[in-house]
Amino acid sequence: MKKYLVIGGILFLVIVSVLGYSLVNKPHRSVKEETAIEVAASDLFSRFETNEEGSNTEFLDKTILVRGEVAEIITNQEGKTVVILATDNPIFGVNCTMDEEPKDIEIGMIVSIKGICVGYLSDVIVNRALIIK
Amino acid sequence: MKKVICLLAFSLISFGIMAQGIYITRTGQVSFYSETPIENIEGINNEVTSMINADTGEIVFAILVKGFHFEKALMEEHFNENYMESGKIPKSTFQGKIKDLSKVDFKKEGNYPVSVEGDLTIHGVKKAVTAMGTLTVKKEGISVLSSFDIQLEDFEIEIPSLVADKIAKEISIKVNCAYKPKS
Repeated sequence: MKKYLVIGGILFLVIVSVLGYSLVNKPHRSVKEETAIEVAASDLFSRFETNEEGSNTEFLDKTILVRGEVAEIITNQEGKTVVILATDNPIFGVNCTMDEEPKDIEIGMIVSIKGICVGYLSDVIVNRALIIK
Repeated sequence: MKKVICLLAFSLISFGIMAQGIYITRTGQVSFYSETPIENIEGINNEVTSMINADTGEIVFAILVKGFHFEKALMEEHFNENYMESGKIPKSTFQGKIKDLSKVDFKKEGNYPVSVEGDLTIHGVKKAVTAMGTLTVKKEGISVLSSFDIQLEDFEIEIPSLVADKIAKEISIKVNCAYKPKS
Protein backbone atom coordinates (compact mmCIF):
# COMPACT_ATOMS: atom_id res chain seq x y z
CA MET A 1 0.00 0.00 0.00
CA LYS A 2 2.80 2.35 0.99
CA LYS A 3 4.57 1.56 -2.29
CA TYR A 4 1.55 2.70 -4.31
CA LEU A 5 1.36 5.92 -2.33
CA VAL A 6 5.00 6.67 -3.10
CA ILE A 7 4.52 5.91 -6.81
CA GLY A 8 1.34 8.00 -6.85
CA GLY A 9 3.15 10.85 -5.13
CA ILE A 10 6.00 10.75 -7.63
CA LEU A 11 3.57 10.63 -10.56
CA PHE A 12 1.68 13.58 -9.14
CA LEU A 13 4.88 15.63 -8.78
CA VAL A 14 5.93 14.79 -12.36
CA ILE A 15 2.54 15.83 -13.74
CA VAL A 16 2.50 19.08 -11.75
CA SER A 17 6.01 20.03 -12.84
CA VAL A 18 5.31 19.22 -16.51
CA LEU A 19 2.12 21.30 -16.36
CA GLY A 20 3.92 24.11 -14.58
CA TYR A 21 6.77 24.08 -17.06
CA SER A 22 4.50 24.16 -20.09
CA LEU A 23 2.46 26.97 -18.53
CA VAL A 24 5.52 29.12 -17.86
CA ASN A 25 6.95 28.38 -21.30
CA LYS A 26 3.73 28.37 -23.31
CA PRO A 27 4.27 29.46 -26.92
CA HIS A 28 3.49 32.89 -28.36
CA ARG A 29 0.24 33.40 -30.26
CA SER A 30 0.20 31.85 -33.69
CA VAL A 31 -1.18 34.45 -36.09
CA LYS A 32 -1.20 31.87 -38.89
CA GLU A 33 -3.77 29.70 -37.17
CA GLU A 34 -6.04 32.33 -35.63
CA THR A 35 -9.24 33.42 -37.35
CA ALA A 36 -9.00 36.99 -38.53
CA ILE A 37 -11.38 39.92 -38.78
CA GLU A 38 -11.25 41.12 -42.40
CA VAL A 39 -11.05 44.85 -42.96
CA ALA A 40 -9.83 47.33 -45.59
CA ALA A 41 -6.83 49.49 -44.55
CA SER A 42 -8.62 52.79 -45.21
CA ASP A 43 -11.70 51.60 -43.33
CA LEU A 44 -9.64 50.41 -40.33
CA PHE A 45 -7.76 53.71 -40.19
CA SER A 46 -10.80 55.97 -40.44
CA ARG A 47 -12.56 53.97 -37.74
CA PHE A 48 -9.66 54.47 -35.34
CA GLU A 49 -9.35 58.10 -36.35
CA THR A 50 -13.00 58.89 -35.63
CA ASN A 51 -13.65 56.55 -32.71
CA GLU A 52 -10.52 55.28 -31.03
CA GLU A 53 -12.18 53.87 -27.94
CA GLY A 54 -14.83 51.93 -29.85
CA SER A 55 -12.24 50.66 -32.32
CA ASN A 56 -10.01 49.53 -29.46
CA THR A 57 -12.89 47.43 -28.16
CA GLU A 58 -13.41 45.99 -31.61
CA PHE A 59 -9.84 45.42 -32.79
CA LEU A 60 -7.32 45.68 -29.95
CA ASP A 61 -5.34 42.47 -29.45
CA LYS A 62 -7.41 40.76 -32.18
CA THR A 63 -6.03 39.05 -35.26
CA ILE A 64 -7.00 41.03 -38.35
CA LEU A 65 -6.64 40.55 -42.10
CA VAL A 66 -6.12 44.01 -43.52
CA ARG A 67 -6.14 44.74 -47.25
CA GLY A 68 -4.61 47.79 -48.87
CA GLU A 69 -2.01 49.35 -51.11
CA VAL A 70 1.65 49.28 -50.08
CA ALA A 71 2.61 52.93 -49.53
CA GLU A 72 6.02 52.50 -47.94
CA ILE A 73 8.48 49.75 -46.99
CA ILE A 74 10.77 50.51 -44.03
CA THR A 75 13.42 48.48 -42.20
CA ASN A 76 13.05 48.96 -38.44
CA GLN A 77 15.74 49.15 -35.75
CA GLU A 78 15.70 45.38 -35.35
CA GLY A 79 16.19 44.79 -39.08
CA LYS A 80 12.60 43.65 -39.63
CA THR A 81 10.50 44.87 -42.53
CA VAL A 82 7.63 47.26 -41.86
CA VAL A 83 4.97 47.66 -44.53
CA ILE A 84 2.82 50.80 -44.44
CA LEU A 85 -0.56 50.42 -46.08
CA ALA A 86 -2.10 53.53 -47.63
CA THR A 87 -5.27 55.12 -46.27
CA ASP A 88 -7.18 58.31 -47.06
CA ASN A 89 -4.81 60.17 -44.72
CA PRO A 90 -1.90 61.69 -46.69
CA ILE A 91 0.72 61.02 -44.00
CA PHE A 92 -0.38 58.15 -41.81
CA GLY A 93 -1.56 54.63 -42.51
CA VAL A 94 -1.60 51.06 -41.24
CA ASN A 95 1.87 50.22 -39.92
CA CYS A 96 2.56 46.46 -40.15
CA THR A 97 5.71 44.99 -38.60
CA MET A 98 6.35 41.76 -40.47
CA ASP A 99 7.22 38.58 -38.61
CA GLU A 100 8.70 36.96 -41.69
CA GLU A 101 10.63 38.71 -44.41
CA PRO A 102 8.03 39.39 -47.14
CA LYS A 103 9.00 38.30 -50.65
CA ASP A 104 8.20 40.08 -53.89
CA ILE A 105 6.38 43.08 -52.55
CA GLU A 106 6.76 46.59 -53.84
CA ILE A 107 5.20 50.01 -53.41
CA GLY A 108 1.83 50.26 -55.16
CA MET A 109 0.92 46.57 -54.83
CA ILE A 110 -2.38 45.58 -53.24
CA VAL A 111 -1.74 43.08 -50.46
CA SER A 112 -3.55 41.35 -47.61
CA ILE A 113 -1.69 41.29 -44.34
CA LYS A 114 -2.60 39.17 -41.32
CA GLY A 115 -1.43 40.27 -37.90
CA ILE A 116 -2.37 41.40 -34.41
CA CYS A 117 -3.78 44.90 -34.02
CA VAL A 118 -2.02 46.60 -31.08
CA GLY A 119 -3.74 49.98 -31.33
CA TYR A 120 -3.58 53.48 -32.75
CA LEU A 121 -0.89 56.15 -32.43
CA SER A 122 -0.73 58.30 -35.55
CA ASP A 123 -0.67 55.05 -37.51
CA VAL A 124 -2.78 52.00 -36.73
CA ILE A 125 -0.17 49.48 -35.57
CA VAL A 126 -0.25 45.80 -36.53
CA ASN A 127 2.50 43.40 -35.55
CA ARG A 128 3.51 39.74 -35.87
CA ALA A 129 2.31 40.29 -39.43
CA LEU A 130 2.34 37.92 -42.41
CA ILE A 131 1.53 38.52 -46.07
CA ILE A 132 -1.47 36.45 -47.14
CA LYS A 133 -1.85 36.26 -50.88
CA MET B 1 -2.39 61.41 -23.63
CA LYS B 2 -4.63 62.17 -26.54
CA LYS B 3 -3.28 65.72 -26.41
CA VAL B 4 0.22 64.49 -27.20
CA ILE B 5 -0.98 62.66 -30.28
CA CYS B 6 -3.00 65.67 -31.37
CA LEU B 7 0.04 67.87 -30.82
CA LEU B 8 2.13 65.49 -32.86
CA ALA B 9 -0.34 65.40 -35.73
CA PHE B 10 -0.99 69.12 -35.49
CA SER B 11 2.71 69.96 -35.49
CA LEU B 12 3.21 67.82 -38.54
CA ILE B 13 0.41 69.35 -40.48
CA SER B 14 0.95 72.95 -39.43
CA PHE B 15 4.74 73.18 -39.35
CA GLY B 16 5.52 70.39 -41.78
CA ILE B 17 5.26 72.62 -44.77
CA MET B 18 6.73 75.79 -43.25
CA ALA B 19 9.66 74.63 -41.17
CA GLN B 20 12.64 72.58 -42.29
CA GLY B 21 13.29 71.13 -38.90
CA ILE B 22 10.72 68.40 -38.29
CA TYR B 23 12.09 64.89 -37.97
CA ILE B 24 9.87 61.87 -37.57
CA THR B 25 9.99 58.13 -37.05
CA ARG B 26 7.20 55.59 -36.85
CA THR B 27 9.49 52.60 -36.35
CA GLY B 28 11.50 53.75 -33.34
CA GLN B 29 12.67 51.27 -30.71
CA VAL B 30 12.16 51.47 -26.97
CA SER B 31 13.14 48.59 -24.73
CA PHE B 32 13.25 48.01 -21.02
CA TYR B 33 15.23 45.71 -18.84
CA SER B 34 14.57 44.27 -15.43
CA GLU B 35 17.48 42.53 -13.77
CA THR B 36 17.22 40.32 -10.70
CA PRO B 37 19.31 37.36 -9.51
CA ILE B 38 16.40 35.03 -10.37
CA GLU B 39 15.37 36.22 -13.80
CA ASN B 40 16.16 38.92 -16.36
CA ILE B 41 13.24 40.30 -18.32
CA GLU B 42 13.48 42.32 -21.50
CA GLY B 43 10.61 43.90 -23.40
CA ILE B 44 11.12 45.44 -26.84
CA ASN B 45 8.83 47.72 -28.83
CA ASN B 46 9.67 48.52 -32.46
CA GLU B 47 6.70 50.69 -33.37
CA VAL B 48 7.44 53.88 -31.51
CA THR B 49 6.21 57.08 -33.12
CA SER B 50 8.40 60.05 -32.32
CA MET B 51 8.96 63.56 -33.56
CA ILE B 52 11.70 66.12 -33.01
CA ASN B 53 11.32 69.77 -33.84
CA ALA B 54 14.87 70.98 -34.53
CA ASP B 55 13.79 74.61 -34.36
CA THR B 56 12.30 74.47 -30.87
CA GLY B 57 13.91 71.33 -29.41
CA GLU B 58 10.53 69.78 -28.70
CA ILE B 59 10.59 65.98 -28.64
CA VAL B 60 7.58 63.71 -28.41
CA PHE B 61 7.26 59.94 -28.13
CA ALA B 62 4.14 57.80 -28.25
CA ILE B 63 4.12 54.06 -27.72
CA LEU B 64 1.56 51.26 -27.55
CA VAL B 65 1.97 49.06 -24.49
CA LYS B 66 0.64 45.99 -26.33
CA GLY B 67 3.47 46.36 -28.84
CA PHE B 68 6.13 45.17 -26.35
CA HIS B 69 7.52 41.72 -27.09
CA PHE B 70 9.09 39.32 -24.64
CA GLU B 71 11.01 36.10 -24.82
CA LYS B 72 8.19 34.24 -23.08
CA ALA B 73 4.51 34.57 -23.93
CA LEU B 74 3.64 34.42 -20.24
CA MET B 75 5.80 37.49 -19.50
CA GLU B 76 3.93 39.38 -22.21
CA GLU B 77 0.61 38.30 -20.75
CA HIS B 78 1.49 39.32 -17.19
CA PHE B 79 3.01 42.61 -18.38
CA ASN B 80 -0.16 43.57 -20.22
CA GLU B 81 -2.84 42.18 -17.96
CA ASN B 82 -1.44 42.45 -14.46
CA TYR B 83 1.12 45.25 -14.39
CA MET B 84 0.45 47.75 -17.17
CA GLU B 85 -3.30 47.13 -17.60
CA SER B 86 -2.85 47.84 -21.30
CA GLY B 87 -6.48 47.05 -22.11
CA LYS B 88 -7.48 50.09 -20.05
CA ILE B 89 -4.36 52.22 -20.59
CA PRO B 90 -3.05 51.37 -24.07
CA LYS B 91 -0.44 54.13 -24.45
CA SER B 92 2.66 55.52 -22.85
CA THR B 93 3.99 58.92 -23.88
CA PHE B 94 6.84 61.32 -23.38
CA GLN B 95 6.68 65.00 -24.12
CA GLY B 96 9.73 67.15 -23.52
CA LYS B 97 12.47 69.42 -24.72
CA ILE B 98 16.13 69.11 -25.61
CA LYS B 99 17.77 71.37 -23.01
CA ASP B 100 21.04 72.07 -24.77
CA LEU B 101 19.65 72.58 -28.26
CA SER B 102 22.13 75.37 -29.03
CA LYS B 103 24.98 72.81 -28.92
CA VAL B 104 23.40 70.79 -31.75
CA ASP B 105 24.08 71.78 -35.34
CA PHE B 106 21.47 69.92 -37.38
CA LYS B 107 23.36 70.81 -40.56
CA LYS B 108 26.66 69.32 -39.46
CA GLU B 109 27.18 65.56 -39.24
CA GLY B 110 28.37 64.31 -35.89
CA ASN B 111 27.46 63.08 -32.39
CA TYR B 112 26.01 65.56 -29.95
CA PRO B 113 25.49 64.70 -26.27
CA VAL B 114 22.14 66.10 -25.16
CA SER B 115 19.94 66.10 -22.13
CA VAL B 116 16.18 65.92 -22.44
CA GLU B 117 13.70 67.04 -19.83
CA GLY B 118 9.98 66.38 -19.89
CA ASP B 119 6.95 64.46 -18.73
CA LEU B 120 6.87 60.70 -18.96
CA THR B 121 3.42 59.13 -18.75
CA ILE B 122 3.33 55.40 -18.04
CA HIS B 123 0.34 53.47 -16.70
CA GLY B 124 -1.60 56.74 -16.75
CA VAL B 125 0.78 58.39 -14.24
CA LYS B 126 2.71 61.46 -15.33
CA LYS B 127 6.15 62.15 -13.92
CA ALA B 128 8.92 64.62 -14.74
CA VAL B 129 12.13 62.91 -15.92
CA THR B 130 15.52 63.98 -17.23
CA ALA B 131 17.48 61.71 -19.54
CA MET B 132 20.92 61.94 -21.07
CA GLY B 133 21.44 60.79 -24.61
CA THR B 134 23.29 61.15 -27.87
CA LEU B 135 21.83 62.80 -30.93
CA THR B 136 23.62 61.87 -34.15
CA VAL B 137 23.24 63.98 -37.27
CA LYS B 138 23.72 61.96 -40.46
CA LYS B 139 23.21 62.54 -44.13
CA GLU B 140 19.88 60.72 -44.21
CA GLY B 141 18.46 62.08 -40.97
CA ILE B 142 19.16 61.96 -37.26
CA SER B 143 19.27 59.23 -34.68
CA VAL B 144 18.82 59.28 -30.95
CA LEU B 145 20.22 56.91 -28.33
CA SER B 146 19.40 57.23 -24.66
CA SER B 147 19.06 55.17 -21.54
CA PHE B 148 17.67 56.06 -18.16
CA ASP B 149 16.15 54.37 -15.11
CA ILE B 150 12.68 54.60 -13.64
CA GLN B 151 11.15 53.33 -10.40
CA LEU B 152 8.05 51.16 -10.80
CA GLU B 153 6.39 52.64 -7.71
CA ASP B 154 6.59 56.15 -9.25
CA PHE B 155 4.13 54.98 -11.89
CA GLU B 156 1.90 53.06 -9.49
CA ILE B 157 2.79 49.71 -11.04
CA GLU B 158 2.15 47.07 -8.42
CA ILE B 159 4.01 43.78 -8.41
CA PRO B 160 2.42 40.99 -6.32
CA SER B 161 4.67 39.78 -3.51
CA LEU B 162 4.67 36.27 -5.00
CA VAL B 163 6.77 37.42 -7.98
CA ALA B 164 8.44 40.41 -6.32
CA ASP B 165 11.85 38.68 -6.37
CA LYS B 166 11.68 38.22 -10.12
CA ILE B 167 11.01 41.82 -11.10
CA ALA B 168 13.38 44.69 -10.35
CA LYS B 169 12.00 47.79 -8.65
CA GLU B 170 14.22 49.91 -10.83
CA ILE B 171 13.78 49.39 -14.56
CA SER B 172 16.25 50.58 -17.15
CA ILE B 173 14.81 52.02 -20.35
CA LYS B 174 16.63 52.30 -23.68
CA VAL B 175 15.65 54.49 -26.60
CA ASN B 176 17.01 53.83 -30.10
CA CYS B 177 15.32 55.83 -32.86
CA ALA B 178 16.27 56.81 -36.42
CA TYR B 179 14.43 59.85 -37.76
CA LYS B 180 13.92 61.14 -41.24
CA PRO B 181 13.18 64.75 -42.13
CA LYS B 182 9.49 65.32 -42.72
CA SER B 183 9.16 66.32 -46.34
